[in-house]
Amino acid sequence: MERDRTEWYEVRLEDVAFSYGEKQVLQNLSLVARPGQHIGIVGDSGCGKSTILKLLAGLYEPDSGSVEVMGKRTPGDIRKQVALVMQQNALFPLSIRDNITCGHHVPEAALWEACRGASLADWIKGLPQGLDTHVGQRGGQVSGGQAQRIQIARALCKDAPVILLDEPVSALDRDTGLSVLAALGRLTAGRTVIHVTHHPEALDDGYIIYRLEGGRLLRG
Amino acid sequence: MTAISSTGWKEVDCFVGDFKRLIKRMGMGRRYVLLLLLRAPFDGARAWMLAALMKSVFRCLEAGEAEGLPEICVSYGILCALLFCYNGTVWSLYAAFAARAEAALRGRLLERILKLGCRQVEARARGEWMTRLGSDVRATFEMMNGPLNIPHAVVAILNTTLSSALLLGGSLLLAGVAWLWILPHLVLHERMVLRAIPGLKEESQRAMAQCTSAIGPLIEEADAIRIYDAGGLLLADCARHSRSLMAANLGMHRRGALGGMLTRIFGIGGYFSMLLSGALLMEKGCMSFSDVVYCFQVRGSMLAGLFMLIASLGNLRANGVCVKRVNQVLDE
Repeated sequence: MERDRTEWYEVRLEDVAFSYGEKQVLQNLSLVARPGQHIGIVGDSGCGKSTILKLLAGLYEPDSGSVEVMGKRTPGDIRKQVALVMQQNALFPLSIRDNITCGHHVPEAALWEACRGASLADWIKGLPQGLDTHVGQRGGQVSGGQAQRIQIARALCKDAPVILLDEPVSALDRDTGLSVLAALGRLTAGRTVIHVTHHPEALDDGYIIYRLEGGRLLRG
Repeated sequence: MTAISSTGWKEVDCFVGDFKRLIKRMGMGRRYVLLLLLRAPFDGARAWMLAALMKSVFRCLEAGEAEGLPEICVSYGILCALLFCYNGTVWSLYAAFAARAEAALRGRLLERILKLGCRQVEARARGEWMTRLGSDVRATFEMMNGPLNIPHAVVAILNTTLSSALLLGGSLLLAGVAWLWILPHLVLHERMVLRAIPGLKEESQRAMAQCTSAIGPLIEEADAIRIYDAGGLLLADCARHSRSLMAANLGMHRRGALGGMLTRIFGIGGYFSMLLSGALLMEKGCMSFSDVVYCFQVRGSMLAGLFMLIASLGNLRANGVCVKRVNQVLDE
């Protein structure tokens, strides 16, 4: 897990425009995040916050402008540099182990380290089938909080330099949300983070906050 | 029919019971039975007409009365035209009924599912619901209206009974020879083919539901799959379920092939035995050539009915599993 983080470059969006068909969502949008910086983007629902994350995750390509993450510009390369924790339950109908490792070879020690980082270890140890417990369809066999923790463990396992967070606690009750935020703290420590939310209170003092309005980012 | 074991009958009873329950629920039982009965005499009547034609033609030729042939052919043509008109009318009524029944059942099922509580809905995987609403409903209609299902089973029973009676009337000995081959065929088919089908079909439907469930995340979780490069994992899961589905379907195809082999062996065996017996009877002067031809024609029709019945029973058992699953949803 230990790595010289100064070798990492930055996240950069330059003059990006993006539209869904006729609907222009982003225009002349620019954003720079330096290594280890935490950027918070707030704005109303449907204003394009998640679109920015999808551009940064290499899931969408901009209509114009450029997207660069850790010096990479092609979507496939960008995707290798990021880990994403989503608002909705993004679990596969497989075991906890498969959901965390995503089918890649991960040593058992690293897997448990990720579980501890996501505050999952004690819960998993208490399950009869442990890491091989099936999470059910759309994570139906686990609670919302556990589902988010599994997503955090997945992101920890990937050990990507850039973390993208899309309203990761907005669907949870207050207490669960706070404990998930603690796990997120361990995931984001020392990494570059882009966190989008329409709840500014979810962002702590360490965040540089931008407001997305009319397809443009405003500092504030 | 005595050849069908008690276990076999219990299974037949079970799917007939499930189907009766479903038809009753839809309030279409009487109309369905009436249409089936109206459709049923067609094959039997056609078989009798063809056998009578052959017999009359050969009798004329044997007696050297060729001038009687046009009259026989015209009568046969008129009877055929009337029979086909009747059949067309019944089938058009049947098709309209089937379309209404399908709409009614889909409506009833959806209505039932919408009334279910969240816990009941979540108790089954999404693929399971999709399979029940899609494949199971289709199989139910296949059973109700499809080829080699209930309509053909009814036709086949009537046709076989009528042909058997005609064969008995034609020659007791030849009828005995024919049934000597048919009975072991029925026993073996029941034990080696029909008995295994409900289990295999149930396995197949279960595997299909799992397969459908496994495909969903490939679309719904596409973002996570691409970011975490999890495509291989999800595709491996899909492939595992596809293999189970293929194995279950392969089992059914194997049984089908075994059934086909039995039909060929016993069909040809019966044919040669009848040929030999017919030749002996003609040699001893017990039967004329036209009588033997008539018996062969009737035996052909009887076997066609029996093979149709055997194939229909196989399909009914397979589709009966789906009817049971549809009933389970309506019972919830």
